[in-house]
Amino acid sequence: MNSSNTNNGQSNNGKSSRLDGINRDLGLYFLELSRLRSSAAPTEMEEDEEEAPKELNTINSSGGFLVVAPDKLSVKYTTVNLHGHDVGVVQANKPAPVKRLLYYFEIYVKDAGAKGQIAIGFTNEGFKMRRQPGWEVNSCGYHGDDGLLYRGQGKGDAFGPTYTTGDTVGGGINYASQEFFFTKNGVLVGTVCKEKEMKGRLFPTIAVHSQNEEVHVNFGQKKFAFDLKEYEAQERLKRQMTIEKISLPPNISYGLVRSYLLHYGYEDTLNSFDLASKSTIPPVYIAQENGFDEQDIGYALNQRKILRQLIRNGEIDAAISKLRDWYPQIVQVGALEEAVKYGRIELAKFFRLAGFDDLVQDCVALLAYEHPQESCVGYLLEESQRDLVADTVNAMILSTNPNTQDMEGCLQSYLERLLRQLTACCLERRSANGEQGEAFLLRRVL
Amino acid sequence: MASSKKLISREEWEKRLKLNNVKIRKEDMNKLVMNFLVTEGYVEAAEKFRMESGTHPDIDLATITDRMAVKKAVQCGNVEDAIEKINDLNPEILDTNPQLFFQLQQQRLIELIRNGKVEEALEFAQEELAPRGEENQSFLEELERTISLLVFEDTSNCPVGELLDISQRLKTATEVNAAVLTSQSHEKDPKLPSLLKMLIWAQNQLDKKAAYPCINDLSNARLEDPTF
Repeated sequence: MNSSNTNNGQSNNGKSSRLDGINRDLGLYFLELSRLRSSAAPTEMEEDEEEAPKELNTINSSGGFLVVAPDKLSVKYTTVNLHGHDVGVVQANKPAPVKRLLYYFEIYVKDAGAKGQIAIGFTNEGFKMRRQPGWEVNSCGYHGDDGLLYRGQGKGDAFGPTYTTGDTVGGGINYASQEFFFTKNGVLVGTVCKEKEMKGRLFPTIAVHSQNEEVHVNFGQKKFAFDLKEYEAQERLKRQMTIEKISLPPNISYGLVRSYLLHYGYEDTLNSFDLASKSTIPPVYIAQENGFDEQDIGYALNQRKILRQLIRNGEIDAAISKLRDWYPQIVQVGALEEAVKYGRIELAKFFRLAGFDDLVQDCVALLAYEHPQESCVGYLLEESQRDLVADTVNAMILSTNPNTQDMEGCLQSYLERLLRQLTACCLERRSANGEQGEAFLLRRVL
Repeated sequence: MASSKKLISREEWEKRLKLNNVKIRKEDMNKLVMNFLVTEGYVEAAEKFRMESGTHPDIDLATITDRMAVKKAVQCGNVEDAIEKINDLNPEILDTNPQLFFQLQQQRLIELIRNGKVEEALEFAQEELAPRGEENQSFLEELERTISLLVFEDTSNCPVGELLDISQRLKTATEVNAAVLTSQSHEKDPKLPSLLKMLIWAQNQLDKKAAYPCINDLSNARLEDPTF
């Protein structure tokens, strides 16, 4: 076996290494896609992974004044309170998860005790555990004895009704609107702006302060009194309505669908589409669109369509043979050794993941085999992967267009670029918000 | 009060757009396109797309054909035919949608006027539309506007000339399409435009916190360098 390590990037016959470079980039691009296709998106996984509070934290609670039940889901004030610094406060064992639209939990007042000085709210990590939530900075609390909302100072604001024995009170965070909201017996009491100071992780917090007060907490293990799903739906709807009011340039969707069909070579669909559009889309627009095609994505439309069909049907021999006829510079039969070596050495440095370099060399080698389906890279020709291969070939052909200005045009349709931009903007905005809120997931929309 | 906006360079932004952070699956884009074709009623194109891409339409294509026949009838000005077809599909559609029914009747009146059938037009207006106008102020106003077409010699220049325009037919056709879709329990709007609006919104929102490469022209999806 040829053991030269130098210049594995050059093709055998010394033709343009630009094309090699392009093919290499394309190969990498689609391989990455292939890897991603089979795994869940990073954002999807992280939303599942974020841990939610399940029980009360017995370690840092103001132990001298209260008792937490063994199941860690209820608390009782045991002594007689004397002043403002002997509140029995307890936080949840984990902070409220942030990568979602809303977080919510409830308490049930089993016994309002001597004075009904119960509170529900959110506090930060270093909270002084002998003070009511809301009485210190970086905390907020809705108090049962006076119905006021306290936000970081000793004086509270008028907020809602008082609550007592038998009431179920809930507290939540709305990351989209950056608000706290509270409910009583299944009804929304109100919302308040989540001040910028309340950054960082917030812990669901409950407090009891007079003799015999007893409160049970529900972190979602039981059904809530408040219809959270409905509230969430309403909040989504509110935002959707704001978005719907935005106006779009006329016929933009039509144009993008058309570009998409052109880009991927769905010729038959495009022809039907154009025919049907004649009666609805103003002719002026169609003319403009055709004249404006910078990257000329109509290039080799028929050939790309034919190749896609052949690949999808599994007729690989026919596909390769046609590809050789039309674009000999793409198919490098006999360059297998080079391709394999190139794959192993050059491309491996781009990927630090174990086992991935095998996939890399496989895909690059695909076009180099005489009989690919009988080769060890034949798995790429399984039905599920065929679309990926078809897309790769499509991009490679587009790259042979002398009018191609940049790789971007071959790799991604306009539609894809717009969707990527949307995802990136949402992620960036979430990041600017301290990672709070949902990411954009196309699958969710569909 | 000047808030400090974070500056994200083009290079930095393109890194973020790279595959690892941002995953858009081809199947999902195909579904989006199919959803567009189906909702807008491009039956043949949807069928071809199913064959070429292997994407399954989210509703029965046969129901699209019926719906498209109705839409076409309206677009061609055959309103009576359209109404008959709608009632064949589902008589409740027009029953529960008096606004739409009035719009169709109005279109019928417009077509009669367009074809110079003045007597028939007046008779139709009196018998069918005037009673509706009595019940509803906005219907009455529309009726009056339409009838006023008869007054003008040169309809292309008169204030209500737009009623004779093709766009009026298209408007009604779109409303009919939406009503039928809704009655078939399908969302009446394709998802693609909402996503585009979401993009504009998301860019505006991020704009408050950062200067970064935007896409200003949706039709060519070109990134423009951040202005600071």
